[in-house]
Amino acid sequence: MNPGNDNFEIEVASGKAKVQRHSISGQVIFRVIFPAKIPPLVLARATRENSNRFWTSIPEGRQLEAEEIGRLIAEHFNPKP
Amino acid sequence: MCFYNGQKVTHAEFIRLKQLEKKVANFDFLIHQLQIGFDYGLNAVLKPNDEKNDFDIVQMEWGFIPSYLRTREDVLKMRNGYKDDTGKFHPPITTLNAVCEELLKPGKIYKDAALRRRCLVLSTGFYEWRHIYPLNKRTGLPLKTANKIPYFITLKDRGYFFMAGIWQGWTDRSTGEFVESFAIVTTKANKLMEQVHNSKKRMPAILNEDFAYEWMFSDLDEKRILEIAATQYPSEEMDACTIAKDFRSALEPAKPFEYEDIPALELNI
Repeated sequence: MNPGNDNFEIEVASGKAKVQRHSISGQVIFRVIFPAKIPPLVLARATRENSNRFWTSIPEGRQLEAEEIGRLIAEHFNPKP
Repeated sequence: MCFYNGQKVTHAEFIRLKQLEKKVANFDFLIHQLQIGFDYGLNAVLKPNDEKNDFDIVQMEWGFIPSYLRTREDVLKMRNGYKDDTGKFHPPITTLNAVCEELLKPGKIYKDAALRRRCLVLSTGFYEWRHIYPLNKRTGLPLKTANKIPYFITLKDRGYFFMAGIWQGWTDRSTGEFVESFAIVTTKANKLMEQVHNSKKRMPAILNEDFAYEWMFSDLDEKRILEIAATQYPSEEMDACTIAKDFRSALEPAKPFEYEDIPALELNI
């Protein structure tokens, strides 16, 4: 894992969440630290059997959050004009 | 068919995500490189749970400890060799590797583990020695003593990979110490490894993700165990580079090191 220098912030319902981008063995994960008392969320991009990409929580169990936060992270990298 | 977070994914994707899961959970453990050296130290091993639907990344001792050994002293005697009461020397027995062709032979210490306790050994690369015999300047014939050149072998485009392993729990009868130990399954060398490990012409059984999944989770018959154990990873998907002879004590053991007058490996194979 790298030291996590690739940090940025995203706007979530409870305020600004800190996002750390890490690389583990060449695979990118994002660790999200929320302003409220919500446990940090780790998420990554994955591939469905039909080859579609999706966001997933690591470990399993927080899929809805992963999809919502993943969408915000994607917007950070590809801001709407 | 596999599901991760309710999403239908392939076996390969499932195992990648589960592995990522373990890595995230074991942050401190996984900041270290997972190279495979040649000692009896601890290594990262993927061990299936009892239901064979998930796995843990655990640390196991490399060097399979047979159940008939009673104490750690017996283990050291086996590994280092010893003189018995009559002064007769018993040579060391190495259990770092399990030869795939002999895994299931009757009486072999690995048989029960191969049938019931298969695991995957995580690696980012491994070391092997190439024996090069310099020519005698006077006669032009090869010298009897080889110049041993260490190599670090990796897979192209893969930061880590799985080697087939077998494991066993063992308890020291005198202290109660419990350890899990493993051996790496070896197979015949492919064209690249025939050149690098040219003294023994063997290599670890490196498994692709589908084979890795099957090796760890499926109920396999003996024929299939031997088939997977004999897997020869393709040469063209592997890399080998020379490293310093003192790599074991180096800060960066896998750092490439150039030697003069070393015949190049034939990579166009």
